[in-house]
Amino acid sequence: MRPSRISSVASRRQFLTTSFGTLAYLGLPSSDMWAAMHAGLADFPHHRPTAKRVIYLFQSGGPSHVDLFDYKPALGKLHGTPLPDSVRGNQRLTGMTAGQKQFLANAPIRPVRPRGHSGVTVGDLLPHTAGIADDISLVKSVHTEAINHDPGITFINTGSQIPGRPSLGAWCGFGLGSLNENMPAYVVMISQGSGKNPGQPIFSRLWGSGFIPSSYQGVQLRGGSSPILYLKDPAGVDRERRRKMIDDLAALNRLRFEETGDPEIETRSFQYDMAYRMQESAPEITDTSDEPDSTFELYGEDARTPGTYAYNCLLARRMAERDVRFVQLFHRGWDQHNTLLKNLSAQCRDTDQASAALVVDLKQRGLLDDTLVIWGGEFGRTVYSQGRLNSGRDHHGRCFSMWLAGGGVKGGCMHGQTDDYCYNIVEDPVHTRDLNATILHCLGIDDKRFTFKFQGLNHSPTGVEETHVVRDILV
Amino acid sequence: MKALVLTSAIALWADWASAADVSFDSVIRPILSESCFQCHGPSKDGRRAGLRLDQTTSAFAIRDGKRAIAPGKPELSELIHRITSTDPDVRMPPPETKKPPLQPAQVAQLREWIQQGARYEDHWSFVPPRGNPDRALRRFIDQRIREHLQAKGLPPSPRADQTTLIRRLSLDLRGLPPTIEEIETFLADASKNAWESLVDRFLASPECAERLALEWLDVARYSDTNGYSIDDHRDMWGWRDWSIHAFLQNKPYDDFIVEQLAGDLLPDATAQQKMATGFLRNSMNTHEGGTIREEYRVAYIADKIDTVSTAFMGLTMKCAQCHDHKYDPISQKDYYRFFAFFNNASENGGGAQNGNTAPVVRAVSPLEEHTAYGDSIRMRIDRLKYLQSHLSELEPERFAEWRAKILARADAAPRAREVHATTKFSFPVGTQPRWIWPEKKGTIDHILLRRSVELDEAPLSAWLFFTCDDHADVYFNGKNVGRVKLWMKPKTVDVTDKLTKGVNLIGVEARNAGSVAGFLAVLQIHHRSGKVQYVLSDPEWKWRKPLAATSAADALAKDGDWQSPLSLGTYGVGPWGKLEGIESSELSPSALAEILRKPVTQRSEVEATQVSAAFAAQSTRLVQRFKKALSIEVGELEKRLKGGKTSVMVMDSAKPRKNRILMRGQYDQPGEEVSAGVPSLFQQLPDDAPTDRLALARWLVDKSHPLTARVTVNRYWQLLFGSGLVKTAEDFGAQGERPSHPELLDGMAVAFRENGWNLRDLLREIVLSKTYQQQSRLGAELRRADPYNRLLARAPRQRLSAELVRDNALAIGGLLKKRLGGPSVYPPQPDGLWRQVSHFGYGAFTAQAYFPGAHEHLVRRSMYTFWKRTAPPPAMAIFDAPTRETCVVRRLATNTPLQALVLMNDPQFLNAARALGERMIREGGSSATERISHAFRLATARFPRAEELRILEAGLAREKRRFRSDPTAAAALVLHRGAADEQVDLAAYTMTASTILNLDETITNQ
Repeated sequence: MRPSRISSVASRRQFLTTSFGTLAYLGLPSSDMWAAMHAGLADFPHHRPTAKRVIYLFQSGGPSHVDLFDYKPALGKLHGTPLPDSVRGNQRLTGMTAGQKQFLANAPIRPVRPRGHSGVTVGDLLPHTAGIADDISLVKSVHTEAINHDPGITFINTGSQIPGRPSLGAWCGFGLGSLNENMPAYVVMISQGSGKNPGQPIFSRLWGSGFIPSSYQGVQLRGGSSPILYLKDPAGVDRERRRKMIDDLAALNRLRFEETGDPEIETRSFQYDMAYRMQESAPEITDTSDEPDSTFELYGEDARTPGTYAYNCLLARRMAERDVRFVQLFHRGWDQHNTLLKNLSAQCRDTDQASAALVVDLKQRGLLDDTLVIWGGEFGRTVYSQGRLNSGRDHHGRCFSMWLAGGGVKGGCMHGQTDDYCYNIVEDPVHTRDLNATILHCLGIDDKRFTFKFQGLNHSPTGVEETHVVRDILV
Repeated sequence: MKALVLTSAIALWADWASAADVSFDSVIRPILSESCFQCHGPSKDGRRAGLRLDQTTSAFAIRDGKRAIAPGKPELSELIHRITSTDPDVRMPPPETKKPPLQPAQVAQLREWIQQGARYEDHWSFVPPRGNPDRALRRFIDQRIREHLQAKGLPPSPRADQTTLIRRLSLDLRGLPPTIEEIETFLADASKNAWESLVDRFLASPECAERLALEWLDVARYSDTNGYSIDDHRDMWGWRDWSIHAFLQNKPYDDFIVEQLAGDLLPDATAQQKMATGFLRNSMNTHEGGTIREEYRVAYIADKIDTVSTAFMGLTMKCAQCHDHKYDPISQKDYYRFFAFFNNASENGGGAQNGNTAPVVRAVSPLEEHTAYGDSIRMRIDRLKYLQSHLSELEPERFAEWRAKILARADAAPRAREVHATTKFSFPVGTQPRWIWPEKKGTIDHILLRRSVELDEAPLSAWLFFTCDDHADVYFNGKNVGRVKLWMKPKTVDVTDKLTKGVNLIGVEARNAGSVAGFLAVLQIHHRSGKVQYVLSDPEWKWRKPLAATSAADALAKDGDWQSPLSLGTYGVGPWGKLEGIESSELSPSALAEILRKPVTQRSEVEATQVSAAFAAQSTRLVQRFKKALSIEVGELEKRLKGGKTSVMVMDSAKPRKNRILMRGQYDQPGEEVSAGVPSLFQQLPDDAPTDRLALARWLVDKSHPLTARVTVNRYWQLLFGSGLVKTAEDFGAQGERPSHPELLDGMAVAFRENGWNLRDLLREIVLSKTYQQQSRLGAELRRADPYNRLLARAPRQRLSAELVRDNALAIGGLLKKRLGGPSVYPPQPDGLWRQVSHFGYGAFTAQAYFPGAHEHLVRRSMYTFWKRTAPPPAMAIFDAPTRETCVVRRLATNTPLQALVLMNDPQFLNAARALGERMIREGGSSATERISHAFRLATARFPRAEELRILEAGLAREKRRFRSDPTAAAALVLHRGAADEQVDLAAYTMTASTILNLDETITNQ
């Protein structure tokens, strides 16, 4: 905990800290109270940010960099030949292929090619993404130590393979505060792809608050008329009835405040007002009936169906317009151990158009400049086939590809090199923690100066290891 | 020493001003720890220039003619030079550490301390507590608290009124509000020991045991699921019940610790003592495919070390897993010596699917007389079976769509029926269809089969059951009625509409691609006379080869070379054996429509099941998955029901292993071999006894241990005052906060230990203190002087913890079902939360979809709510409950809009509001004023003041008026219960009740 820092905000603004992370009202108008409550930490940002907000398109399960991004013309000739021991080295294999007798190189099931003016490489399975090649930075040398889903996805989202740490989005809300009075700072949306249904399980810890206050945990947004849990008033309670009840509550709470002097009471009344406003603003975001047909041409018809990835991408744009700080999509189903062509194609079909549309849409609305978009999963896939050739691929953490766009990131840029087998990094490795440090950097945060004291340690979002911001991809 | 400690505590609150003795332990170590120890502390990893500032040998040594610290001579101390330099190459801490430069006040303190001779001291918490209080503990508490207040010139607050006190005590000790009878009895009790006897009564109550166990569940990271990856269920509620039982018995706290760490090693250990070690097995585990087991076996042990060191010692030992601790004198070697205590269990790194991983003990819950294990499981099975036959309840919207479709179809093709059709195919005993084919071995792989059936009139109903090795299409009178693709998946088809009066031709086109082939069928015809006729596959049928260029349907109708097939054996014969699906519950569309037209309440159980089956078969994949998931859950429960005992994962010592330091904490990088032992900073274990978990446990509760008693009393202080005397209850090390009242902490720790680790006595003394009984009012002056209430010039006002927020609402509404222990239960939660993140639909895993329970399972205390780690109960998480993935000894409190939404709109809280509304009308008296006062008292224990009453009465009148003009809204809010005029009344009272349940005061202990 850093009471000193929090109270410096408090004293500066003549507020008093009571429950952690909450500043209570001491006679100022509610807009100032809101500002104080959502201001973030005192010395933030550390430097001039290039991104105000983040949209993280997390692809859960481990998308195949071999088939989608990592362009290796030589691989065609190596198809079906054993992966040399010198390439495989002493890599840890998962229990699923560790016992396999041979490891045969498997060329991409559909070609990967250079695209656009920049030549950023994208697979044929992602035709729409290929269309935004000049707007993205493709990092082909991301790596992680994890070889299985749970540790891998926990690692990239929280900075540790072992549960218990805050997620990146929670850190951002904690450090930077919220920009929108009526919405949470960190919103999470989940969808399920058709390439593997159900996909690997995901966990609330991926958007959890770990040891920082729970008010920073991601708030799950769902489709329909009650997009946030418990948002909808029960049948029989209309807006006026709810308003009156909250007014009565405020009057009663105020009497209690006068009696006890506890500022926490006034904070609570304020939160009821916030809740009331959220009840109106959240359904506005999820009600896409005001979108013209052109929106659905851009994102695809799927975007009309709540719960789909495309719908969530559209909502992400609508939230960016309303300045939600950190929006994270979790799309499940990228885990093609078998039936590679059919299932990977299905995953791509579900996501490609909407991912690209989001970038295009943000750009045409002038929002891409200060919105950082990230696409990627917890690891990549092996170049060798799992089982028969062209059947499937196992997990691969030694190198994989992710792309970033907007928010101070260059367009048409590639970073990092892997060997001829897309197996080992030969140039510019980017650990997942470097990637996270880079995301924070774009938001104006120096990850190592951003700490929260818990159990005696000053924890940073990227752990104790050194990190390197990937400056090559920054404008 | 005494004076010094006192000074240091006050220094927490005072700006540094005078040149009194500067304490190393309270002032200097925290500065060095924060700014210097990372490179110049106990850890040899990353140490720079070979310099340590945590001990004199290194700090005072002369290096290159300089001394980091020259006692008495700050101007000659390199340390002072470095921390004050403006040259970035010289300045400490160096810029690349990203640590800020020291503040002027800190520099001044270091200077002063060196000037005074740079006297080092041991870290306070590593020195055993001393000083058994010379008076009753309650008075000792007051004395110490008041000394500190006096030093700050603050008066204590007056005693709170009796009503506030009984509610405070009830919430603190039982986690529930006092009943009105309890309040009135207490208010009427004028005797001197009224408070004391109330305290004793509450302390001995089962609710108090539950409340104390609830707090322990966070520490013990108790959960009903395995935690990693698929996160299916486990059965650890037996351990949870053990802990409730321990509090109920007021088990001496040292035994409480020893049994949980080493109950299995006690002489003649009982099953329940073994069960206690489930504490260590509450670690998460995984059976994710591809997991390297040893990696996770190590992770499970690391979790045990984290839990044991945090829970009992307030030590962050996990920091030493990869390297020496940076701040506390715990080396990596210490860590792996500690590791050895847990390294010989047979627990492996995998995890069992759907349930417990060995080693386990099967035992009866210590609370069996309350839990009635079997009844509870059976109640759950009944509920799941009910859902199986009422799948519509899980997907009401889809069901409505599907029902409409079926009815529309039936209406489009009306049928006259004088009697009910038989709605089920059954396979009567003694009915012997035969497998038929043209030859036993050979090459004929494509044939037509046929026979005719003559009927006097159209049947009431008719069903065909058939299958074929490999596959076949069946035609009735030239129309295809179905195809079987795999012989092991036979089909049952309603052919009622396909049979007519007169001769009917039944034809088959069968194919085979293997050696042995065969066709099998039963046609069941219910005649209007009531007679049932069976037409079986047998050599009476005829076969022929298909005709080129003629469709099967046409060829079947043609005469020609039809021959008798061979019988390959009756149904049940190898290689086919008995087949699935003989019990079909498929209905004809018209029969289904007939059932669907009946109101739900008028359907029989059989009909409900048939509707459910048809819905599952004909609706979405989601519904099919529900059906499957329900049968997985039922199957697992039925397995668990056998034997009347529950299983708990426990510890054993079955597998001696070589115990090595793991370099950088990596499971695959073993280093030096080390034996079991406690960290070198502490008194070591005796040489003459085995160094096992039992020795470790006994060492923790030994008189000489500096931490265990302190950490324990601090946690219970935190439970009652919201914050511990050491605020960082999880960290008593160099980086933790120092105690606000060191002597009080030590005195309580010693008294607790000397009093036989009697927890009930400890709690009793604390709540009997004047300090506890103060008012909680917070004046402006106090708010300025002590905003965090560390000095306790008043009682705290604290929001109730997540579980208690719900328990209270249930109790106030009169809904709470009190029952101790037992398997966890499933109160309602928003639909789909588990499914969205889980492996629902894949494999056969439990706890992938949430099926809300029924009856008393909806209204048990929240500590019994089934806890899934990857998707904890949402309303609990919103009120700051941790995920229970790792040990947590302190929750942070937040105040958010989502909490407001839960209290206003969560159906559980609405339900409580409705119940409270009913209760107001039923038992509150006849006037609105009386009824409102009644509810207000149930929620806050006190009567509303005039102004409060005015607001609530006006609100009630307003709602009555509005509902009267909109009775539909009233009916909706009260779920259409009661007569129309009652609905308006009840709806208005429900709104008032909801307002009362939403009051800050209702969810606050003050």
